Amino acid sequence: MGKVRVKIDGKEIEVEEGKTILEAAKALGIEIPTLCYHEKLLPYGACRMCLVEAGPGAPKPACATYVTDGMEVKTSTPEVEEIRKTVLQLLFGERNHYCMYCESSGDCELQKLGYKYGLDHFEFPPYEEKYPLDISHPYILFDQNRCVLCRRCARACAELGGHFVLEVKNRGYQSLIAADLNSQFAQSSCVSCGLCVQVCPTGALVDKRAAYLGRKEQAEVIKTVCDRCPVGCGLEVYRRANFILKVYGDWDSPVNQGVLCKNGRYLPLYEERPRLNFPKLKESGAWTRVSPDMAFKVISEKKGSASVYLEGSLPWELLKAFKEAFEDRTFALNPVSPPIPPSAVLKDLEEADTYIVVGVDLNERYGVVGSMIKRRVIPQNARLIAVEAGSLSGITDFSYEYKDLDTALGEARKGNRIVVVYSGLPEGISERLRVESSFKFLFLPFEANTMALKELGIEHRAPVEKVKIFVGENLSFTRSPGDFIVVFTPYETGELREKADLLIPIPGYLEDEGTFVTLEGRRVHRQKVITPAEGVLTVEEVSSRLEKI
Amino acid sequence: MRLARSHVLISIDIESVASGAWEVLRRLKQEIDNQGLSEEVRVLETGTLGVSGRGVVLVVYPERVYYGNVRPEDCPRIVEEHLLKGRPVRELMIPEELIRPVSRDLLGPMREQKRVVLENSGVIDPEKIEEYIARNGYAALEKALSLTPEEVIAEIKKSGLRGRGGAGFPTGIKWESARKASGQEKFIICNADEGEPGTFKDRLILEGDPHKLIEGILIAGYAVGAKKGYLYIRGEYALSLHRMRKAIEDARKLGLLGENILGSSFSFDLEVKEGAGAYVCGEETALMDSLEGKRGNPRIKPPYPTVVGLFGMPTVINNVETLANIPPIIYKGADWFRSLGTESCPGTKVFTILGEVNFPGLVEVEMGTTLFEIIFGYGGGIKGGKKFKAALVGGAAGVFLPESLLGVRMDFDNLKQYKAVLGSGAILVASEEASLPKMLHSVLQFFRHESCGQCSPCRAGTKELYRISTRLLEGRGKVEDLDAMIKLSESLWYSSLCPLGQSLIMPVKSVLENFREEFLPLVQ
Amino acid sequence: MKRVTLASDWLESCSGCHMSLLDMDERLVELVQMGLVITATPITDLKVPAPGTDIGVLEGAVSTDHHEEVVRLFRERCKILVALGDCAVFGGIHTMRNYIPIEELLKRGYVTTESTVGGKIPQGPGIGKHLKKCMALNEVVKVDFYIPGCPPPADAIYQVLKDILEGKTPELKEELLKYD
Repeated sequence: MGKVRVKIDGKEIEVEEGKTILEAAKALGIEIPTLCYHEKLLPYGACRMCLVEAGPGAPKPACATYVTDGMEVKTSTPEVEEIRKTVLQLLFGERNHYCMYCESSGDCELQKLGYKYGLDHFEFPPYEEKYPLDISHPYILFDQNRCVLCRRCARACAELGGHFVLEVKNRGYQSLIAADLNSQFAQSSCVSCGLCVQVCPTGALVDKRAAYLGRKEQAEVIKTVCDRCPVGCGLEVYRRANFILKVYGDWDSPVNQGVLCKNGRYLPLYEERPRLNFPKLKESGAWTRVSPDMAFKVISEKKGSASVYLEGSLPWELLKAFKEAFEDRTFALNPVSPPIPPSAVLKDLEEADTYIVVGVDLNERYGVVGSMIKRRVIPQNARLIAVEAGSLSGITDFSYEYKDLDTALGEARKGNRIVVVYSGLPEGISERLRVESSFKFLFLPFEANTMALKELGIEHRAPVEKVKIFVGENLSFTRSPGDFIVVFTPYETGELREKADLLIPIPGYLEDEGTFVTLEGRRVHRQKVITPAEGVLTVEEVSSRLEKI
Repeated sequence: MRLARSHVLISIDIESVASGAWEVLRRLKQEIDNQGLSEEVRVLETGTLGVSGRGVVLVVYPERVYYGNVRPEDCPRIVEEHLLKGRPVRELMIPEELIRPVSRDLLGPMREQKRVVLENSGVIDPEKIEEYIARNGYAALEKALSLTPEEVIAEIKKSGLRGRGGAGFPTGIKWESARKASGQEKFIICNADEGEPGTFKDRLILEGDPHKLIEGILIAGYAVGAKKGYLYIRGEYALSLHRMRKAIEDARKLGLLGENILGSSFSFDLEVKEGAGAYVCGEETALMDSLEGKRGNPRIKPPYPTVVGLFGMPTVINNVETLANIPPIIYKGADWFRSLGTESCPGTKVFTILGEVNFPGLVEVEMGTTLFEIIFGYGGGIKGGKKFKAALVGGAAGVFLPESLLGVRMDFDNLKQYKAVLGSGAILVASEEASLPKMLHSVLQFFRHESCGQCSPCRAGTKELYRISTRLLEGRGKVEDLDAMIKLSESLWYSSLCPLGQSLIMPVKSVLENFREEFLPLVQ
Repeated sequence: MKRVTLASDWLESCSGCHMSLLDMDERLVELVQMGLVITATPITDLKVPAPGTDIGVLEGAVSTDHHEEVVRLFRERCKILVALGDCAVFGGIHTMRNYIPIEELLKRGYVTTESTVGGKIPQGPGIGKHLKKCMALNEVVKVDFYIPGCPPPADAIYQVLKDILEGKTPELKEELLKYD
C-alpha cells in the first residue's frame, strides 16, 4: 500500500492509500459531522452530512471518498455549512422528529447535529403523515416516525450480524425499513441479536425494556465479558441504580467487535423464574428459611456421602472451591472433553473459504460464531456445508444428514481453508472427521466455563448417589426415594421446590465477578455489575464456607 | 426470391398496436388473399414510421401513399380500390405534404431529415435479419474485425461521437478507459431503460432496427475486450423485448453471436434483461446494481463504471442511440460522421417532439439544428394556430425554454450556455393555453415518485418540493415559496448523490426564472 | 431609560413555558431595570397587546381559529415576535391530533371519557373551532426568534430577552438550545 499526501483545512498529512477523507481528517483531529457513517460498517455516503469540498465539482461525501495524492480538502466553508443545514432541515421535516416525547432525546445523533448547527425551528414543517409503529417484537420497538433511513440497521444486520433480515422496501419518500421485506418484526427471521438497536442513531429502534428508564449519560457503563457461552464476547453494560438498562456489544473487544446474540443481550434480562433470596430447608414437607451457617452445617454433616454436580456455567473460583471441598466426588453435569482435539481459533473463521458446521445450530447457540460464518457465506465469500445444523442449513445449498457425511466431506474438500465447527458429536462421526488432516477444528465447548472444568480435572458423570449437591442455573434432575438433594441456584422454580431438600441462593447474571476460560483457552475476568438481594451468597462467601466444612 | 409488384408496410409499434394494428394486419392479409393478390402484393410489418397520433399507419410502395387511422373495416376498400384497381383511397390517405417523418426527398421549403440511426426503421421488417443484411447490415462488424481493437477505438474517438443518453460523454474515451482498465472480464451494457418521460427514440431503434443495435454492441465488445453484453430494456417495452430476443436468436443462428464470430477469434454473447419500472435504473450505476440483482440504488462515483462496474469489472454502458451510431461510423468512416452536425457534436440526433404541435413524433436531424426549425418545421408549428409559450427540452429533467431562445442550436455545448442540457432529446411544446405551474407540478410529482430514496436530500427534497407546489396550486402558497423552491433545488444540486436529484434544479429554476409571472397569481 | 414593552399569551399549551419564564426569578428584576415593561400577559389584567408593542412572546401551538386570531393580532401589533417553547416553535405534542379527525377527537375528549356521564361537545360563539391542522407558529405568521425547549430553560429565555434589550441578535448556543 502506498502513501498519499493530502491537505485538509490547510494541514498536511500522509496517509495510506485506501483511506477515506473522514479517516484522514480524524487522524488530524478534524471533526466532520456524520450520520449514516459508522466505524464498523462499510461507508455508505447517503445521508450527505459529511459533504466537504475536495477539488472542483460538487462537494463529496468525506466518509466514502478515498484520498488521492495531492488532494486539497476544505471541511468547513460557508457553502458546505449551508448545505449541511439544509440537509438537516430536510431530515427533520421528513418524518415526526419531535424530541419532547422521544425515548432517545439526549442520546440522539440527529438531535446532536441539530444542536450543533443551531437549528432552532423547522423550515419544512414535519409531515402530517403517521408512519407505522411495530411493537410486535418481544425485545425491540421499531418506530418508523423516527427513522432517518441511514440504513445502519440494515447494514449492520448484513455486514456484522450476517442475518440479512432488514432491508428497505418501497422507493423514494415511501421507503421504509422492513424485516424480511414485508413482515412484522415478530414474524420475521430476526434472531434478536440487537445489533440494529445498537447502531441506530435516533430513537427509531429502541430496547423495549430500557425505554424511558434513563439516558446514556445517566447510566454507568461497565465493560465486562458475557458468561452465557464460551465465546466470551465483550459487553458494555448500562447500569442505573442497580438495574441493568441494556446490554450492548463492546466494539473494542477483539473477540466479537460489538456483535452479540440474544443469549447474552436479551434473554437473561427477561428472566421470568422467581429468584431465590435466602437459604431454605425443607423440614417435614414445609420450607423454612435458615441462616447460611445452618445451611452449611447441614452440608457439612452430609459431606462424607455427598457428591457434587456442577454446571459449566459457573466461575472458576466456585468450581475450584467445590473441587477442593469434595475432591474426587466432584463431577460435571454436561460433557467436558472435546470429541476431536481443537486446532482452530476464532480468527481462522475470518480467513476460511469453507465451513463445515456439524450438529450445532448456530442461530440458537453460539450466535456470534454463527454471525462470523453467515456474514461471509451469504454474500458468497465462503461456502457453508451444514451437517444436521438445524436452522443454519437454511442458508446453504449444501445441507446433509449424518448418513450422507461422506458426500458432505467430499464437498468440503473442494475448498482450500476448511474449518470444522462442532460441539458434541454422535458415535462414529468424530472418528470420520478426525482423520481429515487438511481441516482445522474449532471446538465449541458445551458451556461457558467447560474449559475450566477440564483444567480442574472435573469429568462428566450422570448423578447416581443418594446425597447430591447440584450447582447451576438450569438444573433439572430426577429424585429417587431416600435422596437428599442440595441445590445452589439463583432461581426457585416449582420443580426445585418439589425435588430439593436444601436450597442455597447464588448470584445470577452479572451479579458477581469471576474468571472464565473461553473456548480459545483465554482467561477472562467477569465484572460484578449489579448487586443481588441481601440474602444471596456471593461466590466469595460460598467458597470460604466450603473451605471450612 | 420472387419480386412483388406492390409492398404494403404496416407500422407495428406500441402506439399502433394500441390502435388495433394486429387486427388491421390480419384483415389486410385476409382481403389480399380473397382478392387473389397474395403473390403480387406483400405485406410487411415494420417498426414505427415515426408518425404519432394517427392510429394505424400503412404505406403502400411504390406509390408511397400513406394511410392513417386505418381500421380493419377499411381494408376491403383499400385492397380492392388501391391494390387491385390502382386507385388510392383519398379519404383514408394522410395528405402528402404532411408526411415529414419518412420523407425521402424534399417536400416544400423544409430540409430533409438526416436519417442515420433510423435509416432502416420503417423500411425493413425488423424480424428478418436478411433484410438488415441486404442493407449493408453487419458489414461494419466485418470491417471492425479486420482492424485491431485499438484502431476501432481510434476511429470512434476521431468521429467525436458523444453519448446520446443525455450526458454527452465522448464515447471513444469511455471505450479507451475500459480497454485500459484491468479486470478478469469486461462487460458491455446497453442502456435501453429509456425512462425519461416523453422519450421513445430508443424504442424506435429497438423495435425497428434491432440488428443495428446488436452490431453496435458487438463492435463495442470487440474494441473494449468484452465477451459478454447485457441489453437492459425497460419492462414496459414488450414489443422491443420480443423483437430484440428474436434478433439475438437470429444472429446466433448465423454465427454473428457466440464463439468465433465471422471466423475470427472474437467471441461474444448478448443477454436481454428486463427492467421493472424504475426511472432511477436508467442511471448507469443503479442499472448495474439492478443487473446484479440488488435494489436499483446509484453508487457513488468515483470509481467509474469503466474501472469498477458490473460485478466489480470494467464496464462500458452506452445508450441505444449511441450504439446505433457505431455501425454507420465504422462502415462509412469517422470523416463522414464529422461532416454532419457541429464541430463539437458531430452526427445526428433523434428528437421526439411532443405536446401541442401539429405533427408530434420523432425526427432525426443533424446536431445544431435550431429549436425553431424542429418545432415549427418538422413539428408543423403549434396546433390550432395558437401561440408558442414554452418548450421543455431534455425530458422531465430538462429546461423550460421561452420564445426568446427558440433560435438556440440544439447540441450539447450550445445548450450549456443557456444552462440547459440536451438530455435525451425530448421536446415538449406548450402553447399559450398550457399552465406552466401545472407542468412543473407534474414534473415534481414524477421526481418524487421516482427518487430511489437512498440519499436524504433527494428523498426528502423531492417530497418537499412537491408539497410546496401542491400548496401553490391549491392557493395556499406564499411569495416566499417561489424562492424557497429555487433555493431547495439548488441545495439538491449540491448535495444529491446522483443526477436524479441533481437535475431537479433545471426545470425548477428555468420555469421560475423565465416564467415567474405565471406563478405570481397563485401566491397571496 | 428606554422603555421596551413586552406582551405574551399562550395558545394550545400547558403554560409550562410561562412558568419557565417566571423561573428566571430575580433576573426578571434585572431585566426590568434594563428597561423591560411587561404589559399584557395571561396573568395580568391587560390581555391584549397595545399597538406598537416591542416584543410579543407566544407560547403554544396554533390549533383553533381563536388562536389564529391571537397570533395575527400579535404579529400586527408587535415589532418582534418570539416563539416560546417547543409547541410554538415546532408544533410539539399537540400535533399528534393531526392524525385523528376532529369530530372523533372531540368526542373522545368530551363524551367518551371514562369518568364522564352525559358529556357534550362544547359549542358556542366564544369557543374556538379547530383548524384542520395543528400548526407551529411560523406556519401562520413570520416569526423573528425562536426559543425551543419543553419547557425552555429559564437561562435561555433570559439570554434571549437580555440580548434583545441590549440590541443584539439573540443566538442560542449549544447548552441553551434544547428540544426537550
